[in-house]
Amino acid sequence: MRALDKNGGPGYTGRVDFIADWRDKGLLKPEQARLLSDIESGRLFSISAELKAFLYIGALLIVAGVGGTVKRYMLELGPAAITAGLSAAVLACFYYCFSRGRPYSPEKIESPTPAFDYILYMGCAFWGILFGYLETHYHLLAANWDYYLLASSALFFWLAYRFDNRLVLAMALTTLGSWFGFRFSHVDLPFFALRQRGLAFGAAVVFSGWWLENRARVKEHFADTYYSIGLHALFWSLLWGLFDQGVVSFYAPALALLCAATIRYGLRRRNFQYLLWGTVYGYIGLSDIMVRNVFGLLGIIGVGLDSLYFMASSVAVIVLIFAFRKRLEQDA
Amino acid sequence: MRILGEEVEAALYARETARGWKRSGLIAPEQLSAIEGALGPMPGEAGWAVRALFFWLAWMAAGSVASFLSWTVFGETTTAAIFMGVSAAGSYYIGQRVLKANKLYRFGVEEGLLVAALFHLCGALLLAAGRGLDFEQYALLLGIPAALYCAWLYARFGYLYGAFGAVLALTLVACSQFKGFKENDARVVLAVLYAILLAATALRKEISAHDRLGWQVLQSFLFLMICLFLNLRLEKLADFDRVSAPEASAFYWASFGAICVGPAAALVWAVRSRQRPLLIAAFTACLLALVSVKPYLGLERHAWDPAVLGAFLMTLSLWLKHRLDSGPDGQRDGWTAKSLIVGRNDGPDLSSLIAAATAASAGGGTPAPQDKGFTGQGGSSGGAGASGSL
Repeated sequence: MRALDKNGGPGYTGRVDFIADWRDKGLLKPEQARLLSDIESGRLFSISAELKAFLYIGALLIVAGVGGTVKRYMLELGPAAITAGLSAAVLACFYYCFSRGRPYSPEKIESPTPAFDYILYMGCAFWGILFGYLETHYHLLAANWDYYLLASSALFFWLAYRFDNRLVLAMALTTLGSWFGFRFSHVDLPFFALRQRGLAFGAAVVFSGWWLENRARVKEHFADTYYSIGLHALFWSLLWGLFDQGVVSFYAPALALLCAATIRYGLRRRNFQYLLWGTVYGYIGLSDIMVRNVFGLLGIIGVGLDSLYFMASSVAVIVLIFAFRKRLEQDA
Repeated sequence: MRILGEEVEAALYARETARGWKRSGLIAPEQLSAIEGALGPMPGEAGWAVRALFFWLAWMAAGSVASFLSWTVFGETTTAAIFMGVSAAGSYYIGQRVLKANKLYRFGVEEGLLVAALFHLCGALLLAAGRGLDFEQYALLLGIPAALYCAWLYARFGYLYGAFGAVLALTLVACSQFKGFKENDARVVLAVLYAILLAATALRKEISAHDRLGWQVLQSFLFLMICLFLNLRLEKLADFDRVSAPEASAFYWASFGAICVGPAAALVWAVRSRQRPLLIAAFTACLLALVSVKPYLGLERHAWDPAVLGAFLMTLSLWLKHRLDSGPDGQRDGWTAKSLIVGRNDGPDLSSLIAAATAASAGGGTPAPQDKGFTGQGGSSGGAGASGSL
């Protein structure tokens, strides 16, 4: 049973019942073949993914419904009812999580119940709605309202580590990023505009992920979440700087260095995702430099050269990624 | 018909199935190695993220060639049309060549080239036709070749999106001829067109294992679209503020009956036949029918209606899981809530990235209350439930 023979021609026998074929050849044990045959024929039918989707969509609809109700009936319901209702919802969700959750561990832990992660998410979302409402209605912190973001971020970080939930961790990181962006927008610091703040935030997040993974060794499986959010913040800030300041600036070499480091890290960890990011962001940066700083100066000739550049560079990137992939497969 | 032959397609399907078993712990890694050894060398396939990237790059490369050729003629449209046609033929030839010679299949590169050929073909037709045609003529000029080419992409190369492209191109052609039609007439024509296509797909009796899932996805899509076309209150679903009185026409109530009875019947059929795509499509259509009941009957809708629906869905999910888990070996009549086959995880961790992008409005304390978004899958792979026991 071969798909292609030595010359690349078809050699597969064409039998649809490959499970029986593999069983007869001793590649599968009889009891394995029976189970696999039941699964493939649909005699044993799993709806696990569909049930998860129901939970996911259900949680999303509940949050949307509660948010919509607060927004629409803010005046009719009154602050006491809304605050009490949302507080009760937050407490109920967190009570469920603390009463059912497994003890904290620096290692990865599984969710105790099917609905656990979704209820934790709803608790966090209700918390956000509650704080949003409180600030809208009472203006407790007025101009310093962004400290709600900082407080929410701290809570989400704690919950993410306590219950081992990467979505809540991502919420914590982005909420912290939002606070970082808003907070320093009030302060007129030189060399610390939004782009620089993005760079600082991205670098801090990447460093935190590295430190937690390699030094503290706490929840090492969270590292990818830190790296993905931090690296994207860095890449976008650098690209923005490149688009804005041009090739003769700090941003072009910084982007090249970051791309090289990301690719190197991907090769070392045998993780194709990082290779992909390094290559794609590098390609975007290089294309911007070529189109604006090289072909843009050549007038109508440059338009034709643009096409040739994209043709050649697309093929080159394909070949490069293909080579990375081959190397990863050989290393594996 | 298939470029690599049915045997290679069957072998690719068998290999992917065996890899799924290994990911799920149903067979040992050594067994997978033995199976792959027995299957022999096969065309390379890529994960969806790499495939999408390669597709885009190859599409861009082919587009750059066409752009360069057009640039050399400085606005001479007839020559540009010829160049576009040549570029279309060249893209198609190279795409096919990459597939055959380099044994890359569903790898993105060859797909980008083959799809680019369609765009260049349409560009050539547009340039050749000039500017004198009206919208209906342009739709016919482009829609029919596009539908035929997309159908060919599916038949020859097995790309499911080719079949979807053909259906959408036909829809475009049909819609372009609706001038002077009343809204309900247009809906009926589209529903009948899709029903004819659905009936035509049902005529295909011999469907090999590797084609079955894709074919079922296509049929389920056609069914779902019929339900959407016949739902006269679909566009009012997002408008919570306005309550429209029900219409007094027979068509109105017939469409209401159709969108209620059709999905329910399809759900029963899907459960009996255990077709996953139809199960999903029928359940989606049932949910749409459910949320359409109030707009159809002219009843007032409330802001908390989505929350009630969400609570219903979560309760249903937990009840079904409890019910199935309590059966012998965690199953009832062959239905189980346990995860049997783990899907491929070969793309970037989009769930956490998307969640990260929306979390600022969804999770943080913002100065104004707002609807909360949630786009991750939660939990521990950036998606809740990924580490759950479902």
